[in-house]
Amino acid sequence: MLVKALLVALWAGLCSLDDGGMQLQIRKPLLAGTITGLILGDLTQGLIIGGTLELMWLGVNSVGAYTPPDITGGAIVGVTVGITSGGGVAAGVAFAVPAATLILQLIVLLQTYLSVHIHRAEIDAATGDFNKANRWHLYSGVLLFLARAIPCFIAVYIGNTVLSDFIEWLPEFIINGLNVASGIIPAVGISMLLTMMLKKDMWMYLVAGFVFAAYLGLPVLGVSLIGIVFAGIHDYNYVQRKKLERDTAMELEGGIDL
Amino acid sequence: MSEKFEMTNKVYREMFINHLTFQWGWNYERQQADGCLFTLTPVLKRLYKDAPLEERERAIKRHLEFFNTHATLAPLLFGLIAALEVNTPEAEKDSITSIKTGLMGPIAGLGDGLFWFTLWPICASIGATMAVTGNIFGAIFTFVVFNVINQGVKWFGFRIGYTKGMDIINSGSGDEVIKRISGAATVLGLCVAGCLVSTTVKLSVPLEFASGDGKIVVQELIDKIMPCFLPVLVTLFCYWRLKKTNGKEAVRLIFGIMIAAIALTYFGILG
Repeated sequence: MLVKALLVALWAGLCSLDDGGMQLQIRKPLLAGTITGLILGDLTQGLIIGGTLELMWLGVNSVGAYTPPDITGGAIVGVTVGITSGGGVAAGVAFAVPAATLILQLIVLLQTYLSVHIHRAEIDAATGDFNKANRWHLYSGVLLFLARAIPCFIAVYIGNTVLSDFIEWLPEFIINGLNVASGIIPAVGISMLLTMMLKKDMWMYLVAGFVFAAYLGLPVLGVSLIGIVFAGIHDYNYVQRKKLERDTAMELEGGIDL
Repeated sequence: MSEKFEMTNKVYREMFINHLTFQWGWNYERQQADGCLFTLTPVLKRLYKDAPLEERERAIKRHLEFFNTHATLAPLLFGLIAALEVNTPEAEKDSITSIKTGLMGPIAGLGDGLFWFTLWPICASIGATMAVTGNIFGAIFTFVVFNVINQGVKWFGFRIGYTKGMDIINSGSGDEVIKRISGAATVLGLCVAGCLVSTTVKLSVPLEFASGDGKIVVQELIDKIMPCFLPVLVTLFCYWRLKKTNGKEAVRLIFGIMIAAIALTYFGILG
């Protein structure tokens, strides 16, 4: 178990660095969860729990000042619990959410502290040495690695038996209820997306997407292709409207000249 | 001001590699400031190689100012800043900071729209739908498709930003181009979001009542109103709450849904 716990911790740390840097998006529940499943010897469960969490947290992105729950740590802990406790998706989702909230607190603390590194770098700026100023940036990376690696290690290594006992102790209706909840929670993620995207004159595209999928049964890719058509029409109209505005403005100016 | 600076593939490559650590030092005070300096270092180091100490100090501090934009489109901006750094006389370098600050917002909005609200939801929902059935191809699909585009845009971003940056963003029509792209991307994103309401949000009522010889299945009655009626209602409710609280209520909503689901499942209303 120690080896597995260390491997999961290493993976969590890598996902953490990905979140801040490479953005291969291995940090997202789908990929973070799948590889965690692979490490723990149950790829299929990793895929199922990771995929469920991905759909649930689809709209969760740090946009603007909003800091979302830590979906990376949440997915890794969730998949770990789901596999080691034998509780599957329901247990995974049940533990992913509180874990994501807890690890978020750690990340918030870290990101508050890291402004200290900027001030250190500014002091080093006086030497005129770029590498010296930049090393604080790299130190930050080490801390970012640990911020997710340590809690995930604890969850796998120490939490394992405790968590599985807990899952067995849980009454069945709670597990059933959480299963139902995991079907509803994607609504939060989609709504989150909509709060960013939905502008007053664009709601009908949302309706169109819904109708194509719900009434006509088209899959996501099919709806996306229709979306491209709508996007093209929208852009054409926008350009025409601008052109019209320009022409009218010019006519008006001409009128004044006369 | 060094006349000798020459942009080479090596510099582009170094910027790309440095950019792979872009937000490691993200903090609440300056956000991506240190990532900005680190990404621009390959250019600045060569440009200021023989410059006096105080100019080097100013260059370092100039790019440790508050900075925040979209990571995938940031290379476009960094290419442009590199072009400005090379072409601006030392006395006017303050203008670089204002251009940087002016463009980081629109670029962030455009990037969020293109990558987080359009490309990722499309890639991930297709992949995750396969993954929940235990299909490994789902994870591979998402990883490959997203990264070919995401890393590709970053790789070419530096080049495009440097060579054409000025005409693309700073010319008279630059603002217009950004508006058009973000408008079209929003339309596409909304269509996908509408689809997701019906394919990913799942809840149904298992209640049945005996009536005469047959029975009334509540879910069938609901389905007669419209398909996915309950998912639509729940999504509208969540949207209303999130819009009202600026997204701050997301965690509370998730916990609320869990508690409500457990209670309603216990009484057999949901299932």
